[in-house]
Amino acid sequence: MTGPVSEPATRQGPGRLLVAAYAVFAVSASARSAVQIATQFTVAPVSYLLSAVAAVVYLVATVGLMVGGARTRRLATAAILVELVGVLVVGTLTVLDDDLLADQTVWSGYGVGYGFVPLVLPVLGLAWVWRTRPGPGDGTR
Amino acid sequence: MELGLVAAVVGGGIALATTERAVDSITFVGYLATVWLVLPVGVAWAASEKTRWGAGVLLLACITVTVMVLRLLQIWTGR
Repeated sequence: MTGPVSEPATRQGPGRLLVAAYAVFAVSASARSAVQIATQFTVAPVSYLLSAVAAVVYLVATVGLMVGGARTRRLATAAILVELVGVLVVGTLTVLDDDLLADQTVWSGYGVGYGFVPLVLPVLGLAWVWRTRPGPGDGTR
Repeated sequence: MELGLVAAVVGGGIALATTERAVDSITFVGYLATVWLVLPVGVAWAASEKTRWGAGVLLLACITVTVMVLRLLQIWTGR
């Protein structure tokens, strides 16, 4: 994985598409939860707060992968881990008890409402962060 | 395609302003305000990646626009 020094590895090649996918989820999740919290928060407060958390996680992951510096990589990795845990926990809980949350979230049923992309994305994200990790001692690989 | 989208945004805005029916206007306006931005941003992001991954970004942008237009139609017809 070599490229122009100015371009961080996390946004090259497959990373290009990954960042784009994360950006789509970041924007759509933010917009959706903002509208829901603003207009109908009392209907399903837990669902909408959860959606807002998911939105922030997607935003952090997007920016982290885009910037791709040493610290932002760690930030992105943390966000993606939260995302993976979130989709697994919320997915499992909502599958076990359909009525647990009053309204759907991105992570309900492992992201079934979004073609399971919310489940696949963190796995790809972690794999990508791992593949583009800097080699020992240098920051170029 | 982008021209058509801009036309749809203008037309959608006028239609929303003149309709007598109840439409979920916040969401509708949100989609209208965003849908025309997807292709330019996608093209800009794909431009410096001259591989199949750049093409993948363009494909994703097109899919995103398709989904957004379908959602706009759903919101307009009240689902």
